[in-house]
Amino acid sequence: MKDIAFGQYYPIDSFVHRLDARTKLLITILFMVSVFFADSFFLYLFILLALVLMVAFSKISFIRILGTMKPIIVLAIITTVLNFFLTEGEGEPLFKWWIFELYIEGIFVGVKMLLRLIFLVMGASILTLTTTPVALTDAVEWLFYPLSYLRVPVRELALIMSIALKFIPNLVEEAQRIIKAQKARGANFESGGLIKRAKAFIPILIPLLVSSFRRADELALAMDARCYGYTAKRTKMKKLTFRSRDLLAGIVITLIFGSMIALRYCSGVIINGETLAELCPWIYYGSM
Amino acid sequence: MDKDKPIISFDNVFFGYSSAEDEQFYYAVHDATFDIYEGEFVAVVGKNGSGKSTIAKLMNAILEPSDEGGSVTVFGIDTKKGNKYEVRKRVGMVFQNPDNSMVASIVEDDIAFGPENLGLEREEIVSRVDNAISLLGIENLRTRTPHKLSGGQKQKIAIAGILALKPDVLVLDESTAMLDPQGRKEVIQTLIKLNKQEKITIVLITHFMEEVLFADRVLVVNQGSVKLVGTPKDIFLNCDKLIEYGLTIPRLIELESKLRQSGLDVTQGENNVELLAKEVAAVLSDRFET
Repeated sequence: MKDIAFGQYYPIDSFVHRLDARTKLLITILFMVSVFFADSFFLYLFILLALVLMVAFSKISFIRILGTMKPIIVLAIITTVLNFFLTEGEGEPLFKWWIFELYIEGIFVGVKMLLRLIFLVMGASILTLTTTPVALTDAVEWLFYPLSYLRVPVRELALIMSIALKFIPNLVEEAQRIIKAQKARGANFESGGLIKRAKAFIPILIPLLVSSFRRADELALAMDARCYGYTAKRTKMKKLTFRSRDLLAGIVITLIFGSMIALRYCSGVIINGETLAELCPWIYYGSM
Repeated sequence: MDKDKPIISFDNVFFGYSSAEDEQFYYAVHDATFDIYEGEFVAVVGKNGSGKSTIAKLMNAILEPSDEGGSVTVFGIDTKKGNKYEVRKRVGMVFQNPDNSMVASIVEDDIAFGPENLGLEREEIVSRVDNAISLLGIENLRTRTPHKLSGGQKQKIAIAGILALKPDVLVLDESTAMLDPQGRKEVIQTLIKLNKQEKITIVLITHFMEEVLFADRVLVVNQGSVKLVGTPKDIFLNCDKLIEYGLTIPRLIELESKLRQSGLDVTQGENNVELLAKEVAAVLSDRFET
């Protein structure tokens, strides 16, 4: 349970692990934007291709990455089902029962939503599985550095982010300890309605909050003792450096997503008197 | 070891606070005066609430004495007036819970935190991190995640994080309290090594009387002031006083004390079973022959 790995670094050596964190961050952002651009099943293949490449070159087993989907399974099912039945389409419904009507458009929208969710979570987890939190924080700091001209404390925010990531496993452990302690005193988390169950979590949340404040206090002392704030010019042990492999990865990914987005907007391009959409309808199958 | 050169001096130090509960004013440290010398291994013992932790925090300018409450001088710097960072650079502090003193999720990144704060060059940071890691013999933990390690290992990493600041003094505020016996042993052995090989002055704050035996000098603290000072042997000659101050005497020392009281001439303050057994055997065989 301590290995609930969403966002936890998985230390092995691979091409993706060795990429600069900034490259990976930018690729991930590009990936996520592209996921929202893809609107037909064929275009999703491009996303899938990029994902397969990323997984293959990260040497992380596909099952492990799929495992990061666990926390959102319920969300994914609800989204899909809601989209199935709440999308109204033209023509006859495929299926009708009481107030529920299922149209082909509903299936399209639902499946695409599901794919989007899966791709988004998997893309994000490849980033966090292959990048140490420190490198990731540095990358975020680099990305937001321009904001520091507007007096946004980017460095401090980046440090706060890395500390938050570091304390996730500690807090999970703490929460489990509190749950056990409250169970030992007769607390019941498993029965009752939704509201009763939600209420049952108050005796967990309050001790967890209190202990977090205590931790924060101790951590502040420890940081003071280690000369935090000694100089405004903090240095870094690990400096991020772009290498040729970053360029390579960037070009490949940009090509994949670039051609995907180009295809999407080229449906009206006329070739031999016919539009691309008419010529190759399979490219746009499922789009609306 | 330079016995004439105090590097940390407490001069009639008072430290008080107003309790939020009953709005009374309490003194955690009450007229404490003592010196720490270069190269020493000093143990500071006292029961819970005796003020020993406050004393530790006064040593590296995390706290400062109350107004008109005396002064703490560290390497010639008055902690009330001088640059606190200069004090903290030279007096490193290791806390009780290593989980709450780490900032990074990778061991080497955490050790680098201190030198990074000092704004050092990258090569210097790397060499300091390498040095700290090899001193503590934790090369195998370098790229690990701290939360999956044992308590003793985590505390070693915390010590390495402080050593990377290259301090002259290492203050350990109950740093062994949360460890299992094995972890405690590992940490104490590390401290002895740092003291002997690297000539780092060690101030070990603790309530485990067994740990006192490794020290050159012991300060016994009660109600915020230093009540007894001396070598471990000297301290254990005053077992009654120690009990009065709420401390527990190690079993063997207690036995020695009882044997002496009943007229058996054994050395007091040696926590060594074999030595004691030999002495008892010698005394008994003398009696048997006469």
